[in-house]
Amino acid sequence: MSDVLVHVYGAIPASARLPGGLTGRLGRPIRLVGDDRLAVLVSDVDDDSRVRREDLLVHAHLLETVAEETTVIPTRFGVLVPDDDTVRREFLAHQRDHLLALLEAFDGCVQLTVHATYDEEEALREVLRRDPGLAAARESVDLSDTAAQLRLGEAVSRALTSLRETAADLVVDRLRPHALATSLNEVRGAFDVVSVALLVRRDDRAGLDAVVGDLKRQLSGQISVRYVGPQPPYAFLDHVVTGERSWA
Amino acid sequence: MTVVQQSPNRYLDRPAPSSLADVIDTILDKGLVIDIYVRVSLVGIELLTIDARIVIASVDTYLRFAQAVNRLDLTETGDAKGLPDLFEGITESGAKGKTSGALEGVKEKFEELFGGDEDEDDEEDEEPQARTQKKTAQRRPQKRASRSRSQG
Repeated sequence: MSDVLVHVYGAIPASARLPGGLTGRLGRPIRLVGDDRLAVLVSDVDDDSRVRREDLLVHAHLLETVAEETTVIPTRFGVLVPDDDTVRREFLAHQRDHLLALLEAFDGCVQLTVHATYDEEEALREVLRRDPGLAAARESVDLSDTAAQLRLGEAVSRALTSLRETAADLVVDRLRPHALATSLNEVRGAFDVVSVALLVRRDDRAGLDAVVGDLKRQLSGQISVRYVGPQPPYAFLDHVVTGERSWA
Repeated sequence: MTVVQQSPNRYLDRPAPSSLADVIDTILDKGLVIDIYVRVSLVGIELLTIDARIVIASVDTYLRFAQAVNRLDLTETGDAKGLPDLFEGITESGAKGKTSGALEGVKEKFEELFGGDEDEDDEEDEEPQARTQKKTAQRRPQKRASRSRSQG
């Protein structure tokens, strides 16, 4: 029985060159468990290691560092195996065809993610500006009448949804020509406009970088834009599984 | 394939590393899974995930919206025009033929915001890219696919 487990980060082609000195969870060195074609990125963790938020960031950032250099197929956070032999069996043997197919499909590609969020006041201002009925309801609502307030709030909520969808379409329409493929993440907040993953070639990012820069400037004060990456192709993995390789 | 506009003084934005908010859509949700080896007690992570999932359609949220619009200072927008059913069907804003007068107004506003038509906007004839049409629907099969493989 071992007190040490092996945390699995993802898989890369065996031929890939990585920067030296990469570290993983708990600051421990990243090791490669590989064969002639595949290498799996792992590091040791203690069996009783608790997961802290920092561990999540370490996992994500390690994969991003690797994605800068080579194609990487990520493992979902939390896969801990007993030893390197299990890595060889589960990943290099059982998952071999799957991993090789994914690495080939995403050869030279990275994901970038753009998040757009409406400024809360600007969004509310905009829905009132566009709907005089709402603006009038706002003027006339009885502040002591909870039911009336709820009706107003519900109408505002609907208007915000439409506004977000409109803005999302416009953002995505601007970005899509600069990506091989796009995929929408679920948005969660009432003022989140869109979270869109974009698949691009690692060495051909300038078009997207420029459009994101334009959007940031043009939307400044109304919609904030966050640009994240390069990342492994998280959002596109299942497109390959289901045979939809529309960017290839 | 990719259109790169050459403009010498154009500002290129550089992507940043992911933040904690990003892990919900990436390493906690996607990627290769081998179920029998997932052994993480994610108490803190569950909380993190729940934090991020704001329930939009709730009484509290409606009250908050009502209060927020009541507080709003609209002095600069007194001349708003009558635009009925403003954002209904607005997803068709790209289809110019279908755009009504009222919707044109909306479009103009956004084009103002988005800097108007640039030459990359005439891409309606392109074949549709793999833009996700099934936002959440496509999220689950991946895991199942990985699982069945890993257990096979």
